[in-house]
Amino acid sequence: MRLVINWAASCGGCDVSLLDCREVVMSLAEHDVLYWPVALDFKQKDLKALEDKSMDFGIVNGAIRTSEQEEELKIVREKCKVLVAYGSCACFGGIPGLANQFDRESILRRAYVEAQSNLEGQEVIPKPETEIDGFQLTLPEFFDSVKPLDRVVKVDYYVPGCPPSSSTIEEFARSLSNPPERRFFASDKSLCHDCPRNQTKGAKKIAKINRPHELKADEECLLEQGELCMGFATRGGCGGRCISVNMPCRGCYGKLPAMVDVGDAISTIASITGNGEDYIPAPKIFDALNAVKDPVGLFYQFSLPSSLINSFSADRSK
Amino acid sequence: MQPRISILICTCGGQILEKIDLNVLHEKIKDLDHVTGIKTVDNLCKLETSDIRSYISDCDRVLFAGCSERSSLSFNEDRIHSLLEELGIDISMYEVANLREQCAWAHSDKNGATGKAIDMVRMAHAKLKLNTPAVKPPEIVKKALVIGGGPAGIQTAMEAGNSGIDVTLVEKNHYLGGHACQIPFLFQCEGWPSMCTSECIVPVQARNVIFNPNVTVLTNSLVQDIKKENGNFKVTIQKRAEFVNPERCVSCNKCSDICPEEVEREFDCNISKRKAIDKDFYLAIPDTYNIIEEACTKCGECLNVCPTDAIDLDAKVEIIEDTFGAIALATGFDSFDLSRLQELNYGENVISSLEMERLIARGFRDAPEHVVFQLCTGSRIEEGEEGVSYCSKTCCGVAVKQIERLTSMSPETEVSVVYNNDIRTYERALEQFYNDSKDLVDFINGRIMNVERNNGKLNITVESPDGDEEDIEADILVLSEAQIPAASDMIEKLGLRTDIYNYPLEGQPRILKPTESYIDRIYVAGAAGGPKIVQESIEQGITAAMRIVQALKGKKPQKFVSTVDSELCSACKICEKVCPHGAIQVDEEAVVDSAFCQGCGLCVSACPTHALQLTNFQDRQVLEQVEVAFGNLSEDEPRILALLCYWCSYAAGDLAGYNRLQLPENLRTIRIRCSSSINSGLIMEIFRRGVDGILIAGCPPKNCHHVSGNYMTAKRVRLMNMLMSQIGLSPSRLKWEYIGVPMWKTLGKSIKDMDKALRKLGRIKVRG
Ligand code: SF4
Ligand code: SF4
Ligand code: SF4
Repeated sequence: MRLVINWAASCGGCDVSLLDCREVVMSLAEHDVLYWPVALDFKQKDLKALEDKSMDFGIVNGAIRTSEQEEELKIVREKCKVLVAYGSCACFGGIPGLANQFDRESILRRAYVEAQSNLEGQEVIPKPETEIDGFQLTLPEFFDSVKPLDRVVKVDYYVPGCPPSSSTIEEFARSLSNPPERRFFASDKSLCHDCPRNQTKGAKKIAKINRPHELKADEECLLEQGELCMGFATRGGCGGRCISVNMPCRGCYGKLPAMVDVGDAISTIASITGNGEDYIPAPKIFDALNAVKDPVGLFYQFSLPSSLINSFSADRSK
Repeated sequence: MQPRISILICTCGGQILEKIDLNVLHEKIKDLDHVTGIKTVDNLCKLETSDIRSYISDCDRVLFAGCSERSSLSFNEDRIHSLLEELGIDISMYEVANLREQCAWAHSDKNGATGKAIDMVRMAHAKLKLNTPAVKPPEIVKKALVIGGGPAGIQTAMEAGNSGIDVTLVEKNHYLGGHACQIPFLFQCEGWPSMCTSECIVPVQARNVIFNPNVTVLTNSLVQDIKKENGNFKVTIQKRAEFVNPERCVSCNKCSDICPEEVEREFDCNISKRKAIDKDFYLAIPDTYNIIEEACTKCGECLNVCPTDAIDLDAKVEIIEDTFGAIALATGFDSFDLSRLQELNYGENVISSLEMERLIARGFRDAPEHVVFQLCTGSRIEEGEEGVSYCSKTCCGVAVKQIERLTSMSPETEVSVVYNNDIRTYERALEQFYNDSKDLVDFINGRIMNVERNNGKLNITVESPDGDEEDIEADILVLSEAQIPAASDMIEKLGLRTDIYNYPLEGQPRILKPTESYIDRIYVAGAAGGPKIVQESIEQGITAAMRIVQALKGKKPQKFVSTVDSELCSACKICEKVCPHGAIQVDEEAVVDSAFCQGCGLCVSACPTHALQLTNFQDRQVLEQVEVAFGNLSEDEPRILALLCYWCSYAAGDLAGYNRLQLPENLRTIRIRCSSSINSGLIMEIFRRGVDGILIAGCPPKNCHHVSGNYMTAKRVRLMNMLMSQIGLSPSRLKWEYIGVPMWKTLGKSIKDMDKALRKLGRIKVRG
């Protein structure tokens, strides 16, 4: 099997997750890895030198933020028979995708001008082209928004997760030789479906949403305790690593197949919270949701760039 | 088979014709797919069914373009249903384009109104072609279960039984009558200042069920389990061991005479004793002795004396399983636990008003010198105090009634009443008792702060509202204890939603639905639903029985029913939490019992997997309507879509038209189910399809027909507004309003405000 592994806008965790997985490391001996810049000293020219469609698999993690990432992704696509979006950033845009709440200018201004770490008077905003002492310096272009891979090229398989859990990676590694029909290496049912805590979910509504540190019972459904556990709206298959250590699911395996948008979870949360609302002044009913300060960050934590709401142009400059 | 749609347009005696060019309308809709005929008539509502039959041609569905199906006084949805039944057309297979109230009456420009009318007919058409036949309900079992054998329960069972319904009445005590038989003198009613003795009333009432061939009475029994199954209730009843066979027992008392074991007589609030084998009181019905299992040592003495061989000390618990089509909850009330008010020293000579009833029934050994009553004990409390914040309604009346009894039995007894700011003896009778007592009683405004026992006397400290303290010496202190709901376990088993006081919620609109709960065919009668005098409980029993008789005739097919796509369902149980009508149960996957589903759509907007959809109100149908809704509006006009709830808000939209309130022509409305039948994904998708502003309106606070759909959507919109701000969309594009029927002006203003805001913002922009 001939492989290409590349990264784009990502934290590096996805590459580490591959190296962390015994199954993957052991199988490296059987495969030819012809490009993997994180692990070995490859340059773009090595990638370009490969023949078109000569690679069996291209595995790309990270989202697309810059022109260089986009260019490389397109090359990988050309060289590989099968392209795999690996990790939540590649699949849905991931954490870097949260930047899509802001446009390029405000992001650069924030990073290179406003941030306290910038030396006063020496703020420089990087540009694709700069002339210094008669020399023309170039940098990849910083796009206006972050995109998941499938907004740029055709993606054959999705391996979600931030990073993908070892069970998902193993399943994926095993399937290299025998690619499955389904395109998502995750369950089509929600995490609740397999969650041992689900039985403790009752028929009553939840009084209010709490912050994670307010968690009480160890075995009880986190949502039932008012934690904003996104398990009900997220594909299972991760093995419940977060919930098993009392951390609510944040949704890194992505939305369920029939959901319009990952934010459909908003609909659910609004429906299941609030008690005794008939007895309080109407504006007070919102208090149950006081802990929700940042809906994009909560509901779209891993998926903003692939979401429906990302398709609206701002009414005002963001 | 392809749909075949007949369109009937009504000129409404010219009212629609004046404002809408019906020729243009006809021309523009004649090529719509699946239309088999279009007919314009003058007064649809005045036509005979036979005329209508001749106008609709070869169709399986009808599109009415005329007045509002919600608000029309002459051609509303009920009339349409019976018309369709007569025509042999499925009751789901119609839609209405509300050309009168929400178009002709709302717009003055004929061109604009005609364009909108075309869109409205197209919307109705787009939806209608996707409609599916009404869902046939399962067979409803013609049997009713009544839980609780007090006045309300007995009456329900008797009335339903008399109407031919097979009734099972379950009572936990050994006898029927509930608290009513502990109260020797019952108010007759609220209007007549007289009393009847329970010693007459209760046996008269109880015999009516005991000897009713259609009623099975199970005393000393408990409802163990209730499960909904295929539209009915599968119930497990535990009949506790029946040591004395009522078929044989002749109530001769021989067993009791010989029985060596004495125990407290609960019927008498434990102020007297009974034997382990005994009768709770001599008039108890069924007329049989019983054994208190915990007290009986099984010595066997009674066996030797029983002349009829009625006693079986080895009797066993019996489990009865049965299926019922309707249930009445008539479990009465419980008394607030007075020992929680420590300062009152509840106990010897400090008694509850129910205990006072027993004292009155038994007579006083020595006439007390001074009896003090305190009203509102545990009722009408302030925050942080023990008790309930509501008024228990009957206690003031009961107190003055007891005073009347007391003073006539013992005229020399001095009586004082400590009351909480006012005395609530309402209506003619209770106020009369109060007026009659005024000369005999010292009424003190205040509150008892402390009670001490001292040599058989009570030292009572009363504090006035001004903070002045007064000490009173008395022999007996009677505390008018608060009434609280009984049988909370039963409420839970039935899955009834409760108010904050734990009383089961009544169905909305409550005015029209006394005794109805939020679950189809579960009725709540008598004090189980809140404090009542006996006559009211009887009234409620009659009402509940009437409802049962009607309900057990079977259900009509339903247009709107929630359905589950099991491929998608993840068994997360969210829908179970949300369904206000107890129609969903989730085990391996969600199962909707259509006979309980009221088609509100609350589950649909909550289900994260989109496994749930309502028949005839599918997301797809909403989107199809949106697609054609603005076809006759110029590109630069902002598009406003008002999603108005089925009951209050849509009617307000109609009233706006009725009052000729002129609304922007770029407004389109969809009559949705509950305001919470639209999920946030669908809202976003509607925006994506180019609608610039969405207004969702639902019933005002405390008035939702589905418990809390309005609050759900208020919160949904709040979260979405936050989200929209974050991504740079103006929150003014999505609004929530509580709109009751008469609030048409508010609705109109909200729409106009949105129109203004959207004109500033411009059309919504969607990137590719
Ligand atoms: S909400 Fe979270 S904790 Fe609760 S059942 Fe679902 S995944 Fe488990
Ligand atoms: S809410 Fe939806 S996914 Fe969850 S159990 Fe109900 S139908 Fe299934
Ligand atoms: S929530 Fe409403 S629509 Fe859904 S099952 Fe319950 S009654 Fe039916």
